Amino acid sequence: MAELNTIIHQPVRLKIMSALKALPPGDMLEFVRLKKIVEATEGNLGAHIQTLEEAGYVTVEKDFADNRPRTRVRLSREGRRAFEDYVAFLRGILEG
Amino acid sequence: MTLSPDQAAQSLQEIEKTARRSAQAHEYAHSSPQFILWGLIWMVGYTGSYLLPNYGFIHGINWLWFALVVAGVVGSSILGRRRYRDLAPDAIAKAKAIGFRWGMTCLVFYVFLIATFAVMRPTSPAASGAFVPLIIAAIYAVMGIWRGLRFLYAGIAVGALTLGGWFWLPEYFLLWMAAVGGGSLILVGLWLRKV
Repeated sequence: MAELNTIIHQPVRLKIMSALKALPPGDMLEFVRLKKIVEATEGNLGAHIQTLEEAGYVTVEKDFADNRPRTRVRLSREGRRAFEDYVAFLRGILEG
Repeated sequence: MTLSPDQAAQSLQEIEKTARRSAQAHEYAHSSPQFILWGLIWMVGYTGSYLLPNYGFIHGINWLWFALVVAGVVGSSILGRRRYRDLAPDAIAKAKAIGFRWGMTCLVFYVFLIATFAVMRPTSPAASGAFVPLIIAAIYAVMGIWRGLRFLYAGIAVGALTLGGWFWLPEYFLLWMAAVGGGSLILVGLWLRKV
């Protein structure tokens, strides 16, 4: 049986991954919008995004929009696959 | 680390809840500029219809509104294309197919309006000016039932403001629609951006 992915299973990271997975592949979510969806503080969200980035599950892009700095997060191909495996793992537990 | 079925079910529920919120916020964010664009078009169109009621009619067709609708459709498709920019290639193909369907939907809607006007023959420019927003209000309300309550509220607002202007300010109805109808679309667009 597959093992639980503890990187994704952490509650805030699970929300981040779920929010990003809901977008069309390749699309990005702005940090401020993600913060509202996940209901996390800025520091907390930043730390968890860093963990996911180090695992190769998300990529972070920083640029300027309307002369203001903007940070956007995108689910990587690897992250999408890991998340799908994680969901399959949970379903497997429910189905016994 | 092991999980009980209850914990697994709880995690799946959390995933579903967050995904729904994210998809809705994404939809709102991309709809926002469309609302603002069409709010501006309403403002220009209704103000033009009020100030120059006989201007722009050639062979019974209101070319002012025709030009504005064409500009709106072109503007909407440019805004829609901005949505593709960051997508993966397979998602771009899917988004283009959706965009094409939206374009066809607009065309069907436009032909429906022309056909309806030809059959029902509105008694005044104000009557046709009230009918279109009422149809749009109904579309937003239906979208709201399926895709997110904010669209429902937008539909109710547009419908109520249209009827309010029609019954209480008949002589200034077109100006009312320019300011309040167009203005409310712009406000809804700004409101959706805040989500």
